[in-house]
Amino acid sequence: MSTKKILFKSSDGHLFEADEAVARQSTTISHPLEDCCAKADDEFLLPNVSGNILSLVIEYCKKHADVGSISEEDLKKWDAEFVLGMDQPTFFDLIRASNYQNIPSLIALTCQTIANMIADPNEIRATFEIKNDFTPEEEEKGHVTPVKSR
Amino acid sequence: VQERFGNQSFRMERKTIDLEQGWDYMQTGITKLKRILEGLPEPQFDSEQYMMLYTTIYNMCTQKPPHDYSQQLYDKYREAFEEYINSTVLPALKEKHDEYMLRELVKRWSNHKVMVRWLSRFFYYLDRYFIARRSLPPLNEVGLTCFRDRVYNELHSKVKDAVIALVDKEREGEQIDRALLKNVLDIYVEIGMGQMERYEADFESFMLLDSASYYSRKASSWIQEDSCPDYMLKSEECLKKERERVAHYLHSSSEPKLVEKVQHELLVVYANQLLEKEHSGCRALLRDDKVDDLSRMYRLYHKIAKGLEPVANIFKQHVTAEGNALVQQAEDTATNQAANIASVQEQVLIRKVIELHDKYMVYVVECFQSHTLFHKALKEAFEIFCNKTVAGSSSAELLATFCDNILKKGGSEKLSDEAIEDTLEKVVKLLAYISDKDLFAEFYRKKLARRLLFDRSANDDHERSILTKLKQQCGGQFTSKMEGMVTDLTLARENQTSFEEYLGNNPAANPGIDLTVTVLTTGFWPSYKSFDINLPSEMVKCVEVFKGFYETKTKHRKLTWIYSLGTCHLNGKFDHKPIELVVSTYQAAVLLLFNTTDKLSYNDILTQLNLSHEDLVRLLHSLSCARYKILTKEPSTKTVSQTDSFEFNAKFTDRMRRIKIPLPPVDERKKVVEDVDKDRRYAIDAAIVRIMKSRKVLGHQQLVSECVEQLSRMFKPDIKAIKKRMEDLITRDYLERDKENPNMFRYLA
Repeated sequence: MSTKKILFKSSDGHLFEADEAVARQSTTISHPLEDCCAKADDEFLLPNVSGNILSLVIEYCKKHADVGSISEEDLKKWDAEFVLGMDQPTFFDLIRASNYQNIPSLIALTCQTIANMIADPNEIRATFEIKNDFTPEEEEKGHVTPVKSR
Repeated sequence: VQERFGNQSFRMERKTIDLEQGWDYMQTGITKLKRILEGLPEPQFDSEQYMMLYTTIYNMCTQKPPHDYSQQLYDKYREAFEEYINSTVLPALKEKHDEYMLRELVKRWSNHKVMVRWLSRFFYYLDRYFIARRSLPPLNEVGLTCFRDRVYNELHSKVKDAVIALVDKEREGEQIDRALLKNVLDIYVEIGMGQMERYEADFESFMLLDSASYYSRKASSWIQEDSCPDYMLKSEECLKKERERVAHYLHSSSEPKLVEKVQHELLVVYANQLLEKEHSGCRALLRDDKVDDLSRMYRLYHKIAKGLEPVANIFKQHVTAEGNALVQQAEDTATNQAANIASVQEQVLIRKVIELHDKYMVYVVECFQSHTLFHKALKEAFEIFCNKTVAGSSSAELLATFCDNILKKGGSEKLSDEAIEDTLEKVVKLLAYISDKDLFAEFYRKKLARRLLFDRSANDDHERSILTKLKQQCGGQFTSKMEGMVTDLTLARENQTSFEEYLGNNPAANPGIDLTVTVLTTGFWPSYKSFDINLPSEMVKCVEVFKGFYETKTKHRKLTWIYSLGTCHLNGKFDHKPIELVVSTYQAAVLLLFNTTDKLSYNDILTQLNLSHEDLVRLLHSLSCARYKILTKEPSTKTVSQTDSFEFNAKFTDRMRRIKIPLPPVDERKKVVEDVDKDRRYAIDAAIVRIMKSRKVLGHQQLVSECVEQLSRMFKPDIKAIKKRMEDLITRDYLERDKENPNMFRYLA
């Protein structure tokens, strides 16, 4: 197991360092690593991710890289705490960053968190500022129109 | 999280990338890639370039409509390949031919795979959601399909021709670049994307056709020019080379198909011509003991469906012919020679048959790898000639005589114990081929009786050993009587000891002559004719004394005396010197008459002894006209007639002190055959009743065939005999014919 360190550069120029095992959780990083694009001391530029988000991502990846050292239950607890108390903009940036960097477990965590936030249509509207466009009849019937797939 | 953030909920930090703009940027990456592939001086991608290309695609796919360019990028991805193929790849390939073209193709395919890998990394985001949502082929597949549709489809036929030309070149002995062919054929496999269809349809089928016609041409000339062994060597070599070919550059799935084609052209098409080649074919190889060539023949034809049948057939014919020749040889010698030489010939015949069996069993095991077809061929061959008669003797009798010669004292075979065991083992194996096993059993039993009763058995262990072997091969019923006979002898010896004790305790009962009696259990021993003769008084006393003794042992048994088997030791008081004469009881009876009278006529003797003419003539002949003339006959003709008279020959002498005067042996053959026929009638009856009892109703044909099968272990029943027994059983109310269908029989309980 190599303990090669990878350097990340955020969009606003901050540098972060992490172990290769941490970095490999993202295919966006692991692909170029495989294709031997990385030389020693190379920096991985992540133009879509700002420094504060990148630090969160790396924090998450570090925790999830150490698979043996923590129990599943404890890891779940940590995950819950991790997203708790995060403000919305940060949270949405985190979702985007995890998608951009293609970190499957983080994508799943963040999406699940959103799903948990959604309790009823009024809440959704309130949270996400969506106008109510149901007619009174539809409201009454309590219809949920299935979202058409694009 | 209930806070609102107004219209700042979704922060768009990025600037929108316009399609043309974005694509221009991607083009720089694609161009760089192409330059690297073309071998132009171009540095490798670094991580920043890589990330930028990836990010560009990512951004263009996650922008809000109408700037969400996923579809367009997907199309442009494909177009990138198409453009490159049309402008660069295809022209490069089309201007080359043969081996050069193949090399170019391998290079271009390798390049293409690299291009697909890199571009699909850059465009990776499309693979994440877009292709699934639209049910489109993933990027990897798009890339490969481009090559397949534009390059492979154009060229595969030409490529195939070039490859096959090289293959044929190699077949003719030239060196070719095997690695190149492997790489080319790998393309056919990979282009199938998991299916072997392209490889099979675009290459393999043509290759197989070409191979078939190549070998067809070769075979047609080789079959004319080469001997069978040479042709087989060449075939073996060709098959080996074709297998190597597969291992080196064809796909492994081609092996069975290619081998089948080659085998077909070389070995199946010309099978008959090859095997039947006059001076070198299968027959000749067998004749000349060419075991290596025959082994090769087996190896080659073993893999071919029904390939071994003709070989096994020729083998069977050959062995049958050899066997028949031996039998014929013995037959010819027997008819031309005197009786005693003929019997030696019969011994020799059995020996030779055993040797023949040993020889060809080795062939079956070693050349033909113990294949069942060849075991069967050997068996059938032996069954044909082992059931032939030689000079009137059936094979069953010959075999029994052979055993007798080994087991008796002074037999014609002088062998070590181990050799005897070995020979007995082989004899029992030969018995398996003889259909009239019951006939053998009867002859064997008769000869065994003589060995036991006249103390002519050389070795008790061997006697028991062969019985064990026969029991193993033919079952307990086969040997039960024989075993009983051997046991009887042991009991008889014990009995004799008791008798002598009895005489010791009862001196008054002593007959004055040393008497040894062997008591036999009737059922075990062959039936013996014993005619009632007027015994001399001395012998009568002996009989009575023994009867007295025997009754002290058991009152429930009846003693029947078989004088024909008795032996007597007489002291002949000749003028010159006394000589002990060892004669049969009957001969003794005749001689003792002369104790009271000097001269007797034929009729005198006849009346006194109460014998039949046939028997008396035989007796008198042995005593007066044979080697030892104990009696003088008047007139001294060579044969005995009813007008002759006899006198004790006091002048008789011999240099020996004791002589044996044998009676000429009665031909037992006729009696044995009669006895066996009788037993067979009972056996057939029993089989028919057994079958009908279990089946209740059965058709005529079936009954006959089941009967034959049941009895086959012991003999081959005559169909007419079976029919006759069936009729007999009907009259005895065991069976009846069905009223409507006379061909059906019903069991009557």
